Amino acid sequence: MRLEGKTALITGAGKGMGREFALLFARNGARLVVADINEENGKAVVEEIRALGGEAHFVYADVGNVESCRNLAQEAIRLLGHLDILVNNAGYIENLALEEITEQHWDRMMNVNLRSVFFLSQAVMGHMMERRSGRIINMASQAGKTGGLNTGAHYAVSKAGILCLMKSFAKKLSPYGITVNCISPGVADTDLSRSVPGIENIIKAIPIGRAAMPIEVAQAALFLASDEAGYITGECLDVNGGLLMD
Amino acid sequence: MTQRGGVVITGASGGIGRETALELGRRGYPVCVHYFKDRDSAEQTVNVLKDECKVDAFAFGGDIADENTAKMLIDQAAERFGTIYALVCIAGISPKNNGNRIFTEDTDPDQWDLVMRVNLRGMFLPCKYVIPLMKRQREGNIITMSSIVGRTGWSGPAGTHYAASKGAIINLTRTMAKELGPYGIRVNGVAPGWITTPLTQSISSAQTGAILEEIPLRRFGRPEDVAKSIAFLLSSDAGYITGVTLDINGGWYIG
Repeated sequence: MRLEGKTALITGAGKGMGREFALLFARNGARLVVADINEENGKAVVEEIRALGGEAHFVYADVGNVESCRNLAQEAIRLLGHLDILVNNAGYIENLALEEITEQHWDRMMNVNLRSVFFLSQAVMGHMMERRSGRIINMASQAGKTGGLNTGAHYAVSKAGILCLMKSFAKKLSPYGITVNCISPGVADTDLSRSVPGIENIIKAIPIGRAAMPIEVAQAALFLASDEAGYITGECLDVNGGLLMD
Repeated sequence: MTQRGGVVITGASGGIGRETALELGRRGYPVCVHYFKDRDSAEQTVNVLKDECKVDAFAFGGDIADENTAKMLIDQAAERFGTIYALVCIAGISPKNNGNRIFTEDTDPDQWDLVMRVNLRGMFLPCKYVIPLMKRQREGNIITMSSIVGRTGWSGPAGTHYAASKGAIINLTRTMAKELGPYGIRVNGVAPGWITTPLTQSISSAQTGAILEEIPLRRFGRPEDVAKSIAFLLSSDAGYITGVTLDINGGWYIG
């Protein structure tokens, strides 16, 4: 129960990695707000958590919309009483060649993947600074360091931007006892990665020889959220089986 | 709690090493406490591990940069514990001039060699001898000890030789991780910032005061900050993490 007494807001928690984070955090004692753009998925996760005996609330959010981010932050603090942990997980991948990316593709990607992280972090930081305590965990990606293997350049840039935001926020917020870190997964075993052409060759290049199980990425997030990682800030924790070491 | 072999910790008699031994003992690992000179501290750590953590433990003294010593350390731990689950290489030295920096042009070539010998060869040798054992069982963990100055270089109290050795260790960690990943062996490191231990105690408070202002979290690290990260990296929770050197520095360097 490494998060006993803590509260967390997790975006994009209705499925995939976000859902893994939510369940693992709940199993470790955290009270949660599950935020998602898909109400059915989000509410299903809330029910799963309640069935475990945990406390969770669903809040609809379209993180691509700044007002929605601000409302989400306010609502999460109201529902939970206070906020200890923000996990900026919401986002999407899009695989487009350079010549295929339009302004619409670019703008949407930046709004949903990157701008959301900035404005949601901004919306919670005052509360965390007053409490002189908090954790912000952002989902980066190996693509943000390499430019992307099987993802569009716009996706890679959004993830690179998240790394930079982490540094800005870490420097500003850590004097208030708030740590700000990133997790950078490599290849995770999800429906999405299994559908990528040539994925077997990429996996051959991974020293550990397989894709990550989503729970392994979630465990890294749990570690960063816990008291054990209290002296770690401004760090990007790679969870990639050795695929990239930089 | 895990009972799939013991943990060997080099340089476990003081500071971070001792706290790591205790943290792992609390998590149920049997521990071999290697030390160079401080036998009393090592024996005391062993007693705490046995009496309070209720795990098997023993002390092993010797020069970790000596081939025979390193080999005996691994052999004895393997025999005592049945096998070795993890090797944590913490042993290292950081010579100073009464707490002050030894500048590059003042560095004695023999002292340079000594630092490389203890910090690099003393890390390579136990790894060399534990790898065949870990390959046979297709499982294992190695933890290396770098430092923030291994990333950044530093013209502070720690010497040129120390920083260079710690930089090399980040590289060594990556090579071993790439080589050993296919055998189920994970290799990761930690790069602590300013941790309050005997190694940093000799530095004047005037110097430490200036450093504190540069640390975003506005405190020095504690040995347990590092020990808990090592325990995480060794655990199955970190089962997909390898080749990483985890910065534990309060934001002093964000790179």
